Amino acid sequence: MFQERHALLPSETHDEAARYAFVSTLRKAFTTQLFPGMRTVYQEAARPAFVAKHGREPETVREARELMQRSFFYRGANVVGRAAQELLWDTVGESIERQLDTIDEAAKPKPGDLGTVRSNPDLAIPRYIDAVDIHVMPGNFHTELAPDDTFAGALYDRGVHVFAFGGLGARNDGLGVAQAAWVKETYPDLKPRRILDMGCGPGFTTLPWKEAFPDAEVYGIDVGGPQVRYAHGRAESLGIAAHFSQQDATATDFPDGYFDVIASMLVTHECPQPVIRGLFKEAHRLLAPGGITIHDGGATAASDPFDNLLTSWFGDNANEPFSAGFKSLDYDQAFVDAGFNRSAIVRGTRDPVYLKDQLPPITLVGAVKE
Amino acid sequence: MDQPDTPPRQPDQVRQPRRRFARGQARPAYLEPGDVDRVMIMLVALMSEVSALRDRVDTHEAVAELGGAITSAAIEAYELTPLRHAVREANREAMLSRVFRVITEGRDAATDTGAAPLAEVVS
Repeated sequence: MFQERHALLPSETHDEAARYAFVSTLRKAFTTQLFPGMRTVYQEAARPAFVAKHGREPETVREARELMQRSFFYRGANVVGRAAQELLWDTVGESIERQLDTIDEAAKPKPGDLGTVRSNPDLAIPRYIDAVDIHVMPGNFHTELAPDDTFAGALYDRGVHVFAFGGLGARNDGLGVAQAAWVKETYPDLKPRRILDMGCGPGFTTLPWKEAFPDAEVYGIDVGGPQVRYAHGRAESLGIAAHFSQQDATATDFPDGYFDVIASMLVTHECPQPVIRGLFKEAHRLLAPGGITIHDGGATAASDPFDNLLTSWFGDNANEPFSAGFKSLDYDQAFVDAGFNRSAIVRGTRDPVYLKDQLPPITLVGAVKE
Repeated sequence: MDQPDTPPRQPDQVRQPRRRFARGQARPAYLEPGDVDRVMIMLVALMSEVSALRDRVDTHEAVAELGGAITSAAIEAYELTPLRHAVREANREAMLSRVFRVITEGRDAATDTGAAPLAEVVS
C-alpha cells in the first residue's frame, strides 16, 4: 500500500525508495514471522522443557525471559527487530534531510489557509521528552534543526508508514479514524463545538476528528515545533481545516471549558505516570460540562507471563521506558484525582481500521465531565 | 589467465602458491562479546544495500524492456508497476528467508515431530 501524496510528503530517489521498501519488508517479516515465532518456540520447546524440569509452569515475566533468552531464535529475532527499528529512522531521515528546505517552505502558513499554526520557541521542553528518543528515533519529536524546521514531523509521517508497512492506511490515520468513530457511535447526540487532540504529531490522529465532526473546530497541540508546523502544512495540502499549536498538553493556554472532546492517541504510553495524570487534569479544566476526554489505554494485563513479555517488546527494545508505568496505571484513580466522577469513567474497544487480524482491538479509556 | 606465448614451466621450476597468512604478531582482537549485536545490525543494514542494488538492476531490466536507453535519468523516472512491485516484494521476502534461515530453524525444529530418535537409526 502506498502513502497518499500531499504537498509536504517527502519524495524518494530510486535508491531511497528501494531502501524504504526493504525496511518495510523487514518490518513485515519481523511482525508476521519472527515475532509470532517466539510464541511457537515458547509453547513447543521452552515451556515444556521448563515444566519437565521444575514440575510447574513459568510464573513471572523474568522467568519467561530467562527461559527464552536461551533460544537463539529469540535472541536472533530480537536483534533483527531492533535492527529494523534503527534502520527505519536512519533510512527515512537521510532522504528527508536531503529535501528539507523544500518541505520547510511548503509547510509555511499562506494566505487563504483553512487553519492556523502557532509555534512557541520559548516553550520549555520537558526533561522526559529530551532525555529519551522514543522509538529510537534520533531527535525524538521535538528537536529543532533550524527555525521553521519540519524534520521530526516529516520523519514521523513517512517513518510510521514504512514502519507499519502501510498498515495504518494511506494517510496513517487508522487509529484516529477508529477513535473518532467510537466517540461518534457511542455518543450519537454529541455535537462538539471544539475538539482537542493532545500530542498530535504530524496530525494523522487530528484530522479524522474534523472528518467525523465537520461542524467542529479541531485543534492539535504538540510539544514539538516541527510536528505542528508539519501538521499544519499537511492539513492544508489535504484541504482539511485544523488549528495547530506548540504547547505542553499538561499546561495549555486555552480557557476553561473550551472543548467538548479532548483526545490523545498513542501518546500516554510514552509519558511518565505524573504526566499522564497532568494530561487528565488539564483535560478536566478544558472540558465543558458534558464533554468527554478519551485516550487509548487501559488494556487488562495479560495473565500469562509470556504474553506479558511479548506485550513489553517495544518497551524493552524500542526506547519506550514509560510504557510499563502506563500499563500499571490505576486509571479510575487517575481520573478521579483529575476531578472526574468515578461513575463518569468510560471504557471501550474498537477494531483497528486496518490490519484487523494483526493488531489487537484498540482499548479506549476516558471520562465524561458532569 | 594463461598467456598463450608463455612456455610451460619445467617440473623443477613449479611455482609455489602464495602464502596467505602473515608471520609475526598475532592478529589484534578488538571486538568484545557484546559487539556481536552491533555487527548483526550492520549486517541488516548491508542487506538493505544489497536489496536496493538488486532493485536497481531490476529497474535496468525494466527500462531496457521498455526499449529505453539505460541512463541515470531513465532509472529515476521509471515508475514501478504493481506487478513488478509484487515480484520485488516476493524477492525481498525470499532473501530474508534465506539470510534468516539460521534463526528460523530453531522455530521450525520446535514443531518438527514424528522422526525416529537418532539413537535408533545410528546404532
